[in-house]
Amino acid sequence: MLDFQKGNASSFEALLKKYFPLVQNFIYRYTANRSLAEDLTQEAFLRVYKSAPTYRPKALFKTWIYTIARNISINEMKRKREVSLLDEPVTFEGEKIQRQIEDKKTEMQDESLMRHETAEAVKKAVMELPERQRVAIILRRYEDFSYGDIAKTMRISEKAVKSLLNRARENLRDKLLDVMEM
Amino acid sequence: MDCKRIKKMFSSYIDKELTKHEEDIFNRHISSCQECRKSLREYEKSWEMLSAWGGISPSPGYESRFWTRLTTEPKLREKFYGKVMDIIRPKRLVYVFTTALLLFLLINAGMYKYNELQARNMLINLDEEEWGMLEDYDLLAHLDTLNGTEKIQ
Repeated sequence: MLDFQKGNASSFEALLKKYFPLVQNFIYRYTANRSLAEDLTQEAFLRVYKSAPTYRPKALFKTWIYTIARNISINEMKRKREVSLLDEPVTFEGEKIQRQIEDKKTEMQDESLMRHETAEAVKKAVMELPERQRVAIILRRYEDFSYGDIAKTMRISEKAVKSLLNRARENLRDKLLDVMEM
Repeated sequence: MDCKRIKKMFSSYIDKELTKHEEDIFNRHISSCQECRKSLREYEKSWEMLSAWGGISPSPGYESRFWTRLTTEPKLREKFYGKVMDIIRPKRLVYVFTTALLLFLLINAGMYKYNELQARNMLINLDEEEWGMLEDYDLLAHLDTLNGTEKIQ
């Protein structure tokens, strides 16, 4: 980012290449909406690009861009509160699985159906978490953030992160208990 | 250590964030408490299940779409002018001027009516002596004075 600030345009391209997919996934899991995710990720990078002249390296670029992404997502969710979040089909390993699944009898297809049901249950459970717990879970589970980085991104203490994650895990356990195979 | 406190350590245990001392206490309790062992397994299982919700990859051409958006995105000043132009664009301008004209006419009509009422009230309240003075007053001769300009001799 500092390189880009000094006028090195290729540095921004490198940031875009490295962080765009990560931020897009974060926003996707936050909003559960694939098409919205790309749009909001673009918005986040536009903000980064435009604020480059005034950028001060107070935090890691990684935590900064995720903070921007979270703020943009919060605003968008407020704006579109009336729109149902669970309308989009779930994706599994990059492949879209449609809501309407035909009754197929092969072992492979049964497995796929089970995975789809689990994915749906997980998506619903994550989306039902309170906002702060959801962010903490997404950053920890899917983005592999340390407690320190989560704290910086969410602007809270590490102790608060610990407590958030514990409550989020407890909620997830309760929500997923029915679909759990022990 | 009681089960309640052990359960509060589940999350840190899964994330390997416990200190060596905490981990020893935790493991001792878990090996002797079936209830906590079951709960911990549920926590771990639900954590593993989260991987079922796969991620997405950017659709092809996302970088070029970003650069296009950057160049076509209107600047703040343009956005401001756009808003102003929205307000004063011709269709709306007709309404603006019609409203202004109606307001102007209404205000003038109101003022005329008010002055007329004031003059009538003044005449009604004149006593006999004042009426006499008014009749003796040569209005035509004092027209310029009444208008506020002195007649040049």
